[in-house]
Amino acid sequence: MLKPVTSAASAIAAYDSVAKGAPGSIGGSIGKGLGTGGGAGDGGAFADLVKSAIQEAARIGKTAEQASIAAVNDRADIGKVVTAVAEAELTLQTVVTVRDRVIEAYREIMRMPI
Amino acid sequence: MDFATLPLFQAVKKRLNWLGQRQEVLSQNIANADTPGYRARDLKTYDFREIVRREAQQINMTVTGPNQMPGQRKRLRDFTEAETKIPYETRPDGNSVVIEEQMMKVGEAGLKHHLTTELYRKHMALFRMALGKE
Repeated sequence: MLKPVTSAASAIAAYDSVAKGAPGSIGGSIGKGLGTGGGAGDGGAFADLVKSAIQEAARIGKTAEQASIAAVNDRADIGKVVTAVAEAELTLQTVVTVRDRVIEAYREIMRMPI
Repeated sequence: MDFATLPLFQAVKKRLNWLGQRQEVLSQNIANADTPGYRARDLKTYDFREIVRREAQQINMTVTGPNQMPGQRKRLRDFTEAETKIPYETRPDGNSVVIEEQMMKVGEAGLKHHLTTELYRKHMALFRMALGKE
């Protein structure tokens, strides 16, 4: 039986097992039944995608923070700071949206009557 | 999780502190616009060297025996004030406050204050977004 989802990481892991068609899981049968989820080789692709997106967001956030500190200390170009902060905001928003969608999709699968 | 120790928020706090103190000095200048012999003052900008120098000034002497006296240094203010080196003009009575110059500096301080608070607000919003509360 699948554990209830508690975090984005466990939701991603659940997605991963669905894509791999793990035996005994609900997702496995769904994946096979619908003919989706890709082959076993593509199993980690989605998890890797999410992971790399989160790492990228963290990197952009760091750049924005450094630019902000420079601006606060009067050492930065305002244009650069504004764009860096806006980029960081957008990237974080994207990551948060993807996280919420993943959890929502997982819950929807759990609610699905079989 | 202590958000107050984040480098950005510490920098913002220091900056706001500096801007507040500068505003105080500038308003003092304007208040003394007609005082004979008054020289316009301004805060020195703070950089790493300045901060290290001021910290070093506040080191007290160590007392190793009961007969020694602790050479207490007085507590200094956070930022240094200095007379404006080249004021726009000095009146015959020795007063070097020019209202236009002071107003320009007040406007500049206001702009920087706005920038700093806006950055602070933005980064707080980023944290809030990550926590899932729009």
